Amino acid sequence: MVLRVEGCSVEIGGAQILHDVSLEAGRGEILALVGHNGAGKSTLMKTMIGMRDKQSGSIAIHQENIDDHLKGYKRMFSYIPEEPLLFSELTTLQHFDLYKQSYSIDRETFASRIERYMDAFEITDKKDEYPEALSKGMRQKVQTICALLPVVPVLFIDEPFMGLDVYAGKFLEEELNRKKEEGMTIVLTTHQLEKVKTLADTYVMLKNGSVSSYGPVEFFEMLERRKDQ
Amino acid sequence: MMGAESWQAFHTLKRSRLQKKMLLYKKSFKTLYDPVVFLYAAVMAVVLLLISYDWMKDFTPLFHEWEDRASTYLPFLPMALWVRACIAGFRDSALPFSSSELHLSLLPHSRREILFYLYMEKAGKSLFLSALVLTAAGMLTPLSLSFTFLFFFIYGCSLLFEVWIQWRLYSTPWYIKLLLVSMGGTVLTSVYTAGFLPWMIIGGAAWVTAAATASLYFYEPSWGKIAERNDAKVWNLWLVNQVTNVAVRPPKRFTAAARKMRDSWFYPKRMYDRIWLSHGKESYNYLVSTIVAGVLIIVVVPLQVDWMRFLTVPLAVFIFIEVASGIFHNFFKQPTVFRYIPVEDEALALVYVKWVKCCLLIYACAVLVIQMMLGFPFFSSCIQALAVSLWVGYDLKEKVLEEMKKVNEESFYPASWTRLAGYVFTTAVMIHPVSAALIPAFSFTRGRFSLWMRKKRTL
Repeated sequence: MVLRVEGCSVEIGGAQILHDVSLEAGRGEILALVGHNGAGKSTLMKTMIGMRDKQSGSIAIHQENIDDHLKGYKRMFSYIPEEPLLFSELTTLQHFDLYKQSYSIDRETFASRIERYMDAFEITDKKDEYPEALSKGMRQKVQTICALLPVVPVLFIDEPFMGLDVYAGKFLEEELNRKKEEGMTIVLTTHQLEKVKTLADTYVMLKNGSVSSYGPVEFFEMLERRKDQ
Repeated sequence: MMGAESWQAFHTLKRSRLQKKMLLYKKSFKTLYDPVVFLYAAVMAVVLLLISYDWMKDFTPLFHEWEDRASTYLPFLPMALWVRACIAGFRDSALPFSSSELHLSLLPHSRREILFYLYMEKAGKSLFLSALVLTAAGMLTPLSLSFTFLFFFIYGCSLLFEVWIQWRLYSTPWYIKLLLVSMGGTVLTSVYTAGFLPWMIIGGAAWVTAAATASLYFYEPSWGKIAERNDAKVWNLWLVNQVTNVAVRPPKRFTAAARKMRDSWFYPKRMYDRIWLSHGKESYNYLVSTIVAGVLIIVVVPLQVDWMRFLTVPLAVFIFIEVASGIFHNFFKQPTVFRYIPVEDEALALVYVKWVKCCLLIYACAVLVIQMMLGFPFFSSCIQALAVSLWVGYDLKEKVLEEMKKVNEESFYPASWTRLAGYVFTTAVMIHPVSAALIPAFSFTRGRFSLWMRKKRTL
C-alpha cells in the first residue's frame, strides 16, 4: 500500500470532526472521498497533508510516517486545494520555479512539463502575472499546474474540477488518468458523483466524520442504484 | 541537502517579495511624490547633518555627563530589553511569519527551519541597523567610541534573546506575559533601589528561567492568526491596497471599541462611526506618523529658532488637513458598498470630521506647550491654541466636504482663497494673539462669501 491512514480522529474547537477513520490506497489507484457537506472530507484531506493536527491514529506514505518525519512525508505528495493557495509575491512562472526548487525537479523534466501544462491550461500569456491580476479560474489553473509538476507517489486533490473551464477540466481528467497509469496514487474529494464513477477505482464514503462505506467504485454504483430503487 | 532547498525557496520568496514591494513603491512614489522634492530633501538632510555635527561640538561636556550617567545604567539594559519584549509580545510577533511563509511550510519545508531563517533575518537586520545608528552617533556626536561599542555589544547580545522571547511569548496567554512583565519590573526596581549589582545577575537569571519555562509550556501558536496579522505588516497594507487592490485583512485594532459599537448598529451615525473607526485602523500608521511629524514640526523647530513657529504651525496644519482629506478620499477608492448605494453624504463626511477633530487636540496641546516653553503667558497661549484649532476644524470640515463632492463628481468651487486667508490668519495668530479677533470678522465675510458663491453656482 502507498497511503495508509489508521484510526485517525480529529477534534476542532471541542467538536469531534473525524472518528477513527481508516483507509488505504495502492499504487496507480484513484481513491474518491465522498459524502455530504460537513461529512469531514476536507478535514480528512487537510489532516493527511499535515495542515491539521490529529488526536490519534497514524498516517503514512510508503512507510514514511507523518509524525516521525513531517518534512520527508511532505516530499511524498503534492496537493491541489479547493481555494488556490498562491504567494502574493510570486508571478505564475516564479510559482512553478518555487515548486521546482522545493521538490528538486530536474531542469529538463521541468521545462517540458511547464510548456505542456501552460499550453494545455491556456495560461502561457499569464506567465508574468501576479496572483491578484489573475481570475479565480486562472489561479486555480496555476495551483493545479504547481501540484502536477513534482514526481511524487501521492496527489491529493480537494474538488479537482472546481473553477476550471470545460477544456481545462477535460485535460485534468486525462492527466489524472495518465498519472494513474504511471503508478501515481490519487486521492480526491468531489461532489460530482459522475466524476467518481468515471475516474475513481475505489471510494470511501464519510458520514458525520466516520467511514460509512468503502470499496471498489462498482459498489458505489450499486449503492446509488439501490438508493434510487 | 533538504535544508539547502528550504533556504533557497525562502530566499527566492524573500527576493521576489522585495522586488514586488519595490515595484509597488516605485509606482506609488511616481504618482504621489515629486523626485525634485526628494532631491531637495536629501540635500537638505546632508546640510543639516553637517550643521548639527558642528553644532554638537558645543555640547561635549553635556554628552560626557550623559555618557557617565548612561554607563551606570548599562547593566540594566539587557533586562529592560527583555521586559520590553514581553510588553511588545502583546501586539507584535517579532518574526514576520506571514501567509506566504505559512504556504511555504505546506510544501516540503519545515516550519521550524522557516522560523529559524526569519529569526536570523530579523536579528541580523536589527543588529545591522543598531550598528549603523550607533556608528553614526559615535561619529557625529561627542560620545566616545568605547562607550558606543560597549553599548552595541550589550544591546546586540540582549537583542538575540529579545527577538526569541518576543516570538515565543506572543503565542502565550496574556496573563503569563503580564506576570513576566510584573516580575521583570520588580527585579529592575529592586536592584536599582538596592544599588547592589550582583543581585541583577541572580534576579535576571531567575527571570530568564521563568520566561523560558513559560514560553516552553504555554507556547501555542495560532498560525493562521499570526499570518493574518503579519500580512498587513509585511506588505504595508495601505500602499498595497492603493496600488493593487489586494485584499489583505488589516490587523484587529480597536476591537474593544468595535465590540461596544456592535450593540448600536441600528443608528446610522453609529454605523458611520464604526465605518470610520474601521477605516481609521487601516490608515492608523499614516495618521499616527502625520500627527507625530506635525507635533515635532510645531515643537522642535521653534526651540532652535523661535520665530519659525509662525511658519511651522501653518505647515503642520496644512500637512494634517491634506493627509486627513486624503484618507477620507481613499475610502471611496476601495471597492466598498458605498460606491453603489445612496448614503447621507454630508452626515457620513461630518462623522469623519468629528473623529479626525479629536486628533486636533494633540496639535492644540503642542501649540500650547511650545508657546509656554518659549516663555509666553498661559492665557495668551490658550487663545492662540484655541484660535488655531477653530480655524483647522473649520478648514478640515470644508476640505472633507469638498472631497465628498469630488467623490460624487459634483461641480464646486474650491475655497482656495479662503484657505490661503486661513493660513495667513494662523500665522497672524501665532505672531500676536490679538489677531484671534479676526475670527468674528472672518465668519461674517465667510457668510457673505458663501451666499455669493451659491448664487454663482446656480447660474
